[in-house]
Amino acid sequence: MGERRKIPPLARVSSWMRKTRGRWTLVNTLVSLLWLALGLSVVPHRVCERDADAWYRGDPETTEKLARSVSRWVDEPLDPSTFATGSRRYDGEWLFGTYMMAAMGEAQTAIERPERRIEARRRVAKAIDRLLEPGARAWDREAWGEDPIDTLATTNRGHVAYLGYLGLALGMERALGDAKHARLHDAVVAAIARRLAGPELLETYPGEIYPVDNAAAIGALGLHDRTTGGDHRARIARYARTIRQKHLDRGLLVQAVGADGRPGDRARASGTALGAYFVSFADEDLSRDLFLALRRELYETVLGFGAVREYPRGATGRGDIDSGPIVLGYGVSGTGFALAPSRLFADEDAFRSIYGTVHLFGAPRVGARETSFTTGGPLGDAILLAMLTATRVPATLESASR
Amino acid sequence: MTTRIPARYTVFFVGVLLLVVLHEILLHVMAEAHVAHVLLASGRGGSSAVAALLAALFVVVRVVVVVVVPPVVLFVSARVAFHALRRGTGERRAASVPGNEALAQGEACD
Repeated sequence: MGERRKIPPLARVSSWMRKTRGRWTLVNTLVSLLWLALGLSVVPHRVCERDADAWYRGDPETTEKLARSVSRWVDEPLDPSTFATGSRRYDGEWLFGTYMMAAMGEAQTAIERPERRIEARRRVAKAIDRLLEPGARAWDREAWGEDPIDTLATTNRGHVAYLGYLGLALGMERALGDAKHARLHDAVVAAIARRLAGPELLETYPGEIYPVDNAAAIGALGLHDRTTGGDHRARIARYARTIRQKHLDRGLLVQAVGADGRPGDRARASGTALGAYFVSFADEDLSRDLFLALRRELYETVLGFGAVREYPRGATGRGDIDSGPIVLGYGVSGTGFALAPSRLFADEDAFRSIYGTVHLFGAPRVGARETSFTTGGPLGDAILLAMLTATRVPATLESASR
Repeated sequence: MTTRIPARYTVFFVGVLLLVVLHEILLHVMAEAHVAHVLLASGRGGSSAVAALLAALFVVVRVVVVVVVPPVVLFVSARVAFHALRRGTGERRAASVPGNEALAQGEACD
């Protein structure tokens, strides 16, 4: 018998590879494709979601960095031309929206973290002062031919967007215990309540009715009740009844209503998500139902990224100033606005996955002191501060002026 | 033992590096140029064509860099690892197994 030759292990592998070259190539390809699939389904969305927990928990450093950016936008001399939407009215709306959302976001962070209240009061008051400047009122004044503040007590015409959004910001200031604008707050809320004594829904512009703008007005009534002990329950209940009976489709909020009370547009995500946020200050049941319908009918994930369809499945439509761009059926505004109700109603999965999408397309630049969303600008930063910090105003947070 | 990476993989990794650099440059330009609202305005035409192009290019590059590049890098890395393993085993065998040089050379040439 001859001596058995010792073969090194690597040589054995090499020999096996040579004999099984076809199988080796197959294994190579399969393992590589497995990496590709795993990489595609796991890595990108997890990378983009890495700050979602901090936002969901209301981490003070994370929120303060964005709040500083928003405060800088409020301090800067912005004007409607900053936004360049191609429409003078929309430029004005966006300037107004920037200050309104700034006030909401600032106040919400202080409600969750009372130690921030002194600084937040200053910033909220500054944002409200901006809302009252002639330049921030011009879009409404030009549409109606009369100023929304000067005619508070003398007209019953709508102005519901300006007054509703302003009323919410004023209510948040009051919730922080600041009475600086208390008289104006009371006057705005009284005007909304008086005008709602007649029609079920008020006009945003002459001949134009949007349920989501009315949701802001109803939210303002609810917030006023919480902070002053007022009672607008009848108005709030009437709005909820009207919406549930006439202006929902598959549980989603119809975007516009004609002068005859019939739907002027379809039910859409941008109005439903923002409406769920606004109405949460007055009627939590309606707010939750809107969010659950949005979650059921419009929310989807793609490669782990959460997104909200602007129109229900099977329907298509173009992007407009409300929806922002629509990509593959998913709307930018509806997706961003959905952050607020998902946080309000503790839907952490939806919040996390939607935040991943916001991070992907918003491209936040996180510095040592400030965070700013590159593709958002002043309006995007302010909206995201409000949506990412959405919270309940507890009954214990009563106004100092009460 | 040295294992050379095929040129196509080197070109790929250099391309990835260039894309990341382009992304950072566009991110900086977008932030400084204040063209953010071009995207939110849903192409209503209020902004210049250059701003709209810049914003669209940024979004495309960002999606590629964040969503497409990581899994493709993993895919290519797996291919490179298999390539290196195959060449490595072939060359070691050639150096350590007496009387089998021809076979080893054949494997190393694959």
